[in-house]
Amino acid sequence: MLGLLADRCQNDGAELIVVRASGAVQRQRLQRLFPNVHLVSAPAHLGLAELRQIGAARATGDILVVLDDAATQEPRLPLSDVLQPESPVESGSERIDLLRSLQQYGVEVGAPDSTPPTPAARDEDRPTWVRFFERVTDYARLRRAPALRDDLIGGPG
Amino acid sequence: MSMSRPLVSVIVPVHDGALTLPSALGALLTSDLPRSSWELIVVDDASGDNSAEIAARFSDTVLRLSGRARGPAYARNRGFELSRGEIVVFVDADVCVEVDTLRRFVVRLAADPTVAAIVGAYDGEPPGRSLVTHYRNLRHRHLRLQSAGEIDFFWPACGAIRRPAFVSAGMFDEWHYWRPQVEGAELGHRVRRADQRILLDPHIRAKHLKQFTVASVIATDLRDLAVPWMRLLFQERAVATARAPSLSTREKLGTALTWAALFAGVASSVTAVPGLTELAVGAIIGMLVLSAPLFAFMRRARGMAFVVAVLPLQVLHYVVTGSSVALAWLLHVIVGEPQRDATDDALAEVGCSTWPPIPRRRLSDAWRSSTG
Repeated sequence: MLGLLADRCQNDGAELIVVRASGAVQRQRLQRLFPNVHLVSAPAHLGLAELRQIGAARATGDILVVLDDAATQEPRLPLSDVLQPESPVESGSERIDLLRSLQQYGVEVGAPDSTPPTPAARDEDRPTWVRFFERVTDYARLRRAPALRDDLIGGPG
Repeated sequence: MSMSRPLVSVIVPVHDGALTLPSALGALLTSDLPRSSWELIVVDDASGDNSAEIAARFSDTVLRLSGRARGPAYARNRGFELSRGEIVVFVDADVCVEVDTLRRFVVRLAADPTVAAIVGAYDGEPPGRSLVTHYRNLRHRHLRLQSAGEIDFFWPACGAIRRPAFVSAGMFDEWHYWRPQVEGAELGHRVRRADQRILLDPHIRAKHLKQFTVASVIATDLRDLAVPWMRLLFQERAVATARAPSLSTREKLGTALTWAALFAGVASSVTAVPGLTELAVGAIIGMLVLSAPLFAFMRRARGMAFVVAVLPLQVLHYVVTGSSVALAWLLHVIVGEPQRDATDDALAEVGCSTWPPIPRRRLSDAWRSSTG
């Protein structure tokens, strides 16, 4: 990964900073292998977030693309088009089928989420008087329909 | 390592937000939408603190804008230019999303291709004990619950929009809105003019970390919310037709009654016309009756003592709203469109090419029609 990134960064004029806990010997070896990479040593006990912060503090560029060895997305390189003020904004040339993509990521597209939002849909969010009148009308409906009432609350027999 | 284009781009603009940024970004990382399906882009709008370094702890990309701060509309646009997701979610640096917020945005947009954008609502449970902050958040939540469904504005504090819809609408108006103002409302009007739908789903929730005082509420409303929004509505001649929580008939009547009470009260103290005091009392009672559903909502959430304590804030809210309408109308008539900084204006006119770029004036913004 480092070799690939180092090549791409060199082509695009971007600086590549690697923050890692390593000894002097290992650091020299890496520096020989990747002379264009800015290697920063960090204490071994630091977590990923701290390493990222150290790297960000050393960076001189305007756009910081933060990667770690578990990166899952392709970094946005080259960056040259971003730096052109008049560059057209990408409008999503390849349209994505959202439903299919969600399923690929294992996200359930359930029925409750697909219903349109309605005002005050949750019971506790509705005003008390609304809920009161709903109870009243429910009760009136039950009085007019004894069979339904019997089904719901258990009638004679 | 899979090299794929993310489905969602989450863009967080920040200016001197080191205090709240870790919470906001941390909340995003707890999202139940698989991390590999979305990218997190933080745009540091020329902060004087270490916001960019904090952002690097959490995000995939950090964009550092140098020079002077140019506002969230500008920062969001720059972040969008770096993004790759089909859906773009905007979250403010002082807003903590819930675990399911991102997933709900995506699932709802996936379920209904006719919807271009969806916005959520604050949860009404801000941190801290500030009465003003709790009143403001609960009021926001109540209005959003009442207005769920189709709306005419976009809410960039926690809102999602399809990439093509955002591009075709012309992105945020970074020319006229160089502060956190009503850039979302203005974008929403353009999206709606393109016959695209925007939904408000108050069950997509987020927590607002900002703390308010009476002074900051008045300043925010006058400078950044009510006055700029009313100027926009006057400009678009949409005062009567725009669909938004704070433009409901109940809100308009509440404002009118409060000002009627104010005028009648002042008049009764300087003249001897009979009935003015009764008129003032009646108007105040009318306003309180109109506010009953809000107070009932607040009573359920915080209790009766809270409702009694915030009564003056409700009156103050309507006083500020009425003042805003008058001030916005005056500015609309006297000044016209909001003026850009003279330096930016000059640099844009000569076509200066810099990084970060000079704010761009787009052909499709709301103010173009009146100024030629």
